[in-house]
Formats: sequence, C-alpha cells, structure tokens
Amino acid sequence: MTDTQLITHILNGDRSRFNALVWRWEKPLYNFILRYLGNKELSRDVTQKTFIRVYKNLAKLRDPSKFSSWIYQIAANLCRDEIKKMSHRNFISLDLIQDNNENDGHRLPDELHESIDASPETRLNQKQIGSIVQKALQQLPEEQRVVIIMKEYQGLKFREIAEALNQPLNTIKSRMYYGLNGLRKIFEQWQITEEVLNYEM
Amino acid sequence: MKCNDLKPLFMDYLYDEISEDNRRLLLAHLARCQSCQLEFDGLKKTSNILQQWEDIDPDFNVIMVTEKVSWLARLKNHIAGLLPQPKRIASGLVFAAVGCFLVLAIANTQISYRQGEFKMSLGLFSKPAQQTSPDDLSTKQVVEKLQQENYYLMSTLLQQSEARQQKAIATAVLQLRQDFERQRVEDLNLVGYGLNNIEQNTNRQIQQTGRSLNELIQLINAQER
Repeated sequence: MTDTQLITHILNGDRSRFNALVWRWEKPLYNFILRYLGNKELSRDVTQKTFIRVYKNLAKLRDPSKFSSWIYQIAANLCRDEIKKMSHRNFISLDLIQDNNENDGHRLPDELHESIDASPETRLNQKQIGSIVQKALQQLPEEQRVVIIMKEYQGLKFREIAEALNQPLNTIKSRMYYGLNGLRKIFEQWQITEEVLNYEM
Repeated sequence: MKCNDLKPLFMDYLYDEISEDNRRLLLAHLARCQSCQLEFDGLKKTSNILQQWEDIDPDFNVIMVTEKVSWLARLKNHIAGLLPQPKRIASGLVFAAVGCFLVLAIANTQISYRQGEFKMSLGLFSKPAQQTSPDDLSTKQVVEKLQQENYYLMSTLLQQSEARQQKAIATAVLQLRQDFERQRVEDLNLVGYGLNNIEQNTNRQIQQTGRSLNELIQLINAQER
C-alpha cells in the first residue's frame, strides 16, 4: 500500500492505520533529524513531536502524493526551532567544549586522526565514519546542511526539497553546490578520502 | 560557454536529474575543461564519502495510541442511553401534567344555553350542578362518555410508549449480542494466531534439535572411525 493510499484510509476515519505510517517513516525520519541536530536524545524527542504534528494536521494536507515533502518540512521546522531554543539557552554541546580544548573547532578531533593513522589497513567502523561526517556537516551553514542531508540521505528530488523548504528550485541547487564544495574543502583539509574510509570499495 | 554558466548543471548531473540536452552540453564542456572536470570529480568523491555514513535503527519505538472503546464502556453507554435522564424525566412529567389538565378541561367543559342565559364553565373548576334535570342527566352521560374516551386514549398512548421502549431495548440487546460475538471472533483469531506461532516455533526447535543430534551422531561416528 502506498503512502497516498494509507493517508486516504486514515482521512476516511481509519485512524489505526497511522501506526503503519509511523513504522514506515520512523527510521528515515529519525536519521534525518539525527543528522540535522547531531544529538540522539533530542532527535528522539523531535521524531515523536513530528509524528504528533503530522497526526494533528494530516487533514490539512491537500495533496497526499506530496506527503514526503510535507513530513520533512514539518521535521525541518521542528529541528530549526530546537536549534533556536539551544542558541537562546546559550546551549554548549559537549562536542563544542572538546573542540575548544583543542583550540580549533575546524580540526578533526585527535582521537579520530589517531584511529585513522593507527590502522590504515582496517576500515573505520560506522561510528567513526559517522563522527567524521557529522563533524564536517556541522561546519556548514544550516541552510546548506539541511539540503545536503535531504539530498544525500533522504534521496529527495531537488523539486521536493524546494517544496519542503519553501524555497526556489535554483536556490536549493545552489545551496547544494556550495555545501558540497564546502565539505570537499573540509575533507581535503582533514585528509579524508574514500580510500581512508576504506569502506567496501 | 563559460564555466560559471555550466556550474548550475553540476548538481543536476551528479544526482541524475539532468535533461538529455543539458547532459550533452555539460559532458562536452567537461571533456574540454580540466578545472571543471577536477571540480566535478571532487564533488562526486565528496558525495561518495557522505554515502558511507549509513542510517542507524532508532533505539525506540514511536507508538501512536488510538482510542479504543472497551466492550464494558460500550455496554455502559447502551444502558445509559436506555435510562431516561433526570432532565428528560422532569420535562416529561411537566408535559404530561399540562396535557392531562388540558384534556380533562376540554372533556369537562360545560356549555349550556337556557332561557336566554349562556353558561360556560371549565369542568375542573366548576362544581357539579346542584339541580338535576333531564338536561343535566344527558349532560352527565356525555361527560361520562367523554371521560371513557379520554381514558381509552390515555391507555392507548401509554401502551404505545411502552411498546416503543421495548423495541429500543430489543435493538440494544441485539447490538450488544453482535458486539459480544465480534469480540469473541477477534479473541478466537488471536488465540489461533498464537497457537500457529507456537506450532511454528516448536517445529523449528524440533528441526534444530534434529539437526544438532545428526551433527552429534556424525561427530561420534567420525571419532569412532
């Protein structure tokens, strides 16, 4: 059953089908939010909030075929709210404190460098790769970061990203281009290549 | 064409959202322009690096609870629906009292015209005529007849309302019975599903035990040899 069919059932009164929608979207949505916010606990809360908002507002969704853009729009808005809240609270993450201790937030943390240098022939595990990419993504402006996550990990078309973020198509493509170029420079600086990650090449 | 004019197409090409014409245009340019080719390769490699970070499974479950009315609550609702509400009782009594008053008043209204004198009285408040005359006698009969009719009408009304109530109760009981049956079928389905699961699990375990036994036997045989 497609999302559109499920939504039609739900809107016709079969509210119990919403759980099927949740099961289908839980993982992609959580991973999107986690990459956006970079914090597991917070991402879990925002995932729950997203589903609650979707449940409450489903009737307002004019075109069920645009559900994926819509759900990411809701999630992205909630993430943005969380980031604002954090900056209001003068929130300092543990990662930032660590970086400050190293006097340079733009450097790859030493422990990751060590793990790369120590065993160049064994591949890094997912946790290490995640830390590196997460760190690199956090260096980008938020507006570029969200486009890159939506494109690379959620596999949305540029048109869908434009709908979700309510921005012109060309703006989205140019944010993607600048964001990717920014990451390219960061990875070069950290000497991270596909070969270094050595992941099932 | 200048490099900067073609850079907007980089993203379209990288993510395979480019039109055929633009693809040809870009490929022709990349073949000629080394710096653009280098930049494009760098972007592609960056994208490949990003792709190595895989999704993780959430360590929690989002469960949306939808309100489910239990059969006990449904039963309560049915019964509550059948019982008259206090407000309804009060208004019903008031209507009944007013209705009785009006019916009795109309039934007992006496209108008479005798020797140029016109008399009209509401039976409820008028005292019975003190003088009895043949005229009064016939009036009495009429009154009795009317009272009988009145009584008949009232009893019919009562009977009908009783019948209506009985019908409502019968419908509710039927509904209840259907609900019970549905619940029973659901329960039976659940039990059946559980039994199937147990059976499958048991079979799987038996097969596993069989397999391990076979392996053990083979091992023993090999050792003996």
